[in-house]
Amino acid sequence: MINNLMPSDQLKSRQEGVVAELTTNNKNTLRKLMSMGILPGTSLKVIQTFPSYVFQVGYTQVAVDKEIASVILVNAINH
Amino acid sequence: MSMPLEITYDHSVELAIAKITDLLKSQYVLSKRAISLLLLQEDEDILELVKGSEIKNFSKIVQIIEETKKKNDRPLNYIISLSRQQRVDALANSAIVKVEKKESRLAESISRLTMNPITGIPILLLVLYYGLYKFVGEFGAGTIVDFLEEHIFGVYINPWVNGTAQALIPWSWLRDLLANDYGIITLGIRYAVAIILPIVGTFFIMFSIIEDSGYLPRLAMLVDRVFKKIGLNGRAVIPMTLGFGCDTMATMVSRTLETRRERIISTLLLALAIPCSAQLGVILALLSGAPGALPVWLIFIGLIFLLIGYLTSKLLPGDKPSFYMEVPPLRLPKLSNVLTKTYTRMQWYFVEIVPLFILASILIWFGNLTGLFGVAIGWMQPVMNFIGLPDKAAEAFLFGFFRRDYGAAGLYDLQQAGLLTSRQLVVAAATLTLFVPCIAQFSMMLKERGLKTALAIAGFIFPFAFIAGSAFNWILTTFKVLQ
Repeated sequence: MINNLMPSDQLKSRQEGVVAELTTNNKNTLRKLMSMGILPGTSLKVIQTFPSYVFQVGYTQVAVDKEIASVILVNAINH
Repeated sequence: MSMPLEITYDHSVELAIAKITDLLKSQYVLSKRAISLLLLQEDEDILELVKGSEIKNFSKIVQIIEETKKKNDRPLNYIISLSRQQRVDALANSAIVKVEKKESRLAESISRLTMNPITGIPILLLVLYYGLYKFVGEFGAGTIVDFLEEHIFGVYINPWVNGTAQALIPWSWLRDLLANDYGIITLGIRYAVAIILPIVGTFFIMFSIIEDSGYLPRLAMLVDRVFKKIGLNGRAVIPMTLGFGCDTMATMVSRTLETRRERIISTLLLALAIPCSAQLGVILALLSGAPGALPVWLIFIGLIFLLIGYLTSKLLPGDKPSFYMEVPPLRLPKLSNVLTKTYTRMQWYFVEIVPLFILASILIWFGNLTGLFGVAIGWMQPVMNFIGLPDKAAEAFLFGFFRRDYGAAGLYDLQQAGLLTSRQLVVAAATLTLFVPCIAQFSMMLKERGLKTALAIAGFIFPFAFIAGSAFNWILTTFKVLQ
């Protein structure tokens, strides 16, 4: 099992990982992500990638667009 | 019993908290530590509060906040949330035992089907067909309206009101105010109770069921890409869908959208291209008589919606929309919740709308009595001919000023009398759909968007509806569609 860092919009469907960092200093975007419980350390699983990204984050499912997904840096687990 | 959860933050944050706490001299409802933390996160309300209460020290506090911001390369809000998250995770991990469960597999599978475009779009079409077309269109606007309109009002109430007025009221102006063609009871109350009530009622029942099932966030996710093209994000699907019930209510709900730009675009599109359920019901009934008319109308309105949305998003300055939404689990709606929601919405609708119906009846009565309407109808006739309609349609359009569905219902009467061809019917229905929002919606636009924006939107829609109607008529005539 090799770990590698990548933005969540480059993950494939059903891929899992742990959020490593939120790569933006835009307060609005940070606030949105935090309000959905997306913070470094939370586990993330990709449910689908089209037409929008849907992630399982902790106990909730969230839908985000590509712009928001691209700032979530994930430590991906390769099976 | 409860106790405060102590969190130790990053060193620079703790240092700042200590300094600010010292500078806070007034009494607050919250602890000074909490106030300091909120100040560091630049909470606008607290900043305002402290600015007022710490007149001497406020500039020193701002200086500390700025210094702390400089020491950290990430926003303080984020750094503080991170520490809290770590503490909460540690606490949760020590207290929660996770049990693997299998019970919600079915709900999860259905959820995936609604979100995958390949299965999700057919599911959406099924929801629209059974929910909107069959239930609201055929059952609400067909069966129930026919029963109330033709049997209850047509056979019992109207003849009785007209007869009583004839027998008891010696003045014809008062008779006409209450009864006959444009009376408060025979027109205003009849439209409100026999046409609007069943249509809006069935729509609100359906909307509450869809809302409670958790389907709307999935729909928002499906349409986000298309909505981005018209300057909105997927979230706007909620006011847009609600608009098919009542555009006035939807205009109010559009305040939940994030940016001013999105609020203006959605207000414009609601006023222009989203027919409300009352109008939709009458239009469905109107067009179902002419084969092929409904799809042609639908395509035209759909294209106008996308075109105007696209152009507006190009013209209006402002930030690009972004989409994020929590997707709650799908669940079976509870009957009691659905009924309560429907009841509350119907009550709102009646309190807001019925007085306007009565007002509209009075205005129409006044217009007829003074002959003002005759003059206005005379002015409207060339406009009618411009979009290929007979002179008689002017009356329906004039009433459309007062209520969009009055206009559509007026066309219904013309069609019943066999005065319109299929092409004229479709052009008339399309122009009326685009044409001015009703009085209630316009007043909501004024309240929510302000005078300038509301007038600009109305000033655009008025000529545009007729130009688009004329172009539509030209296209249908040239390509010999629906002759």
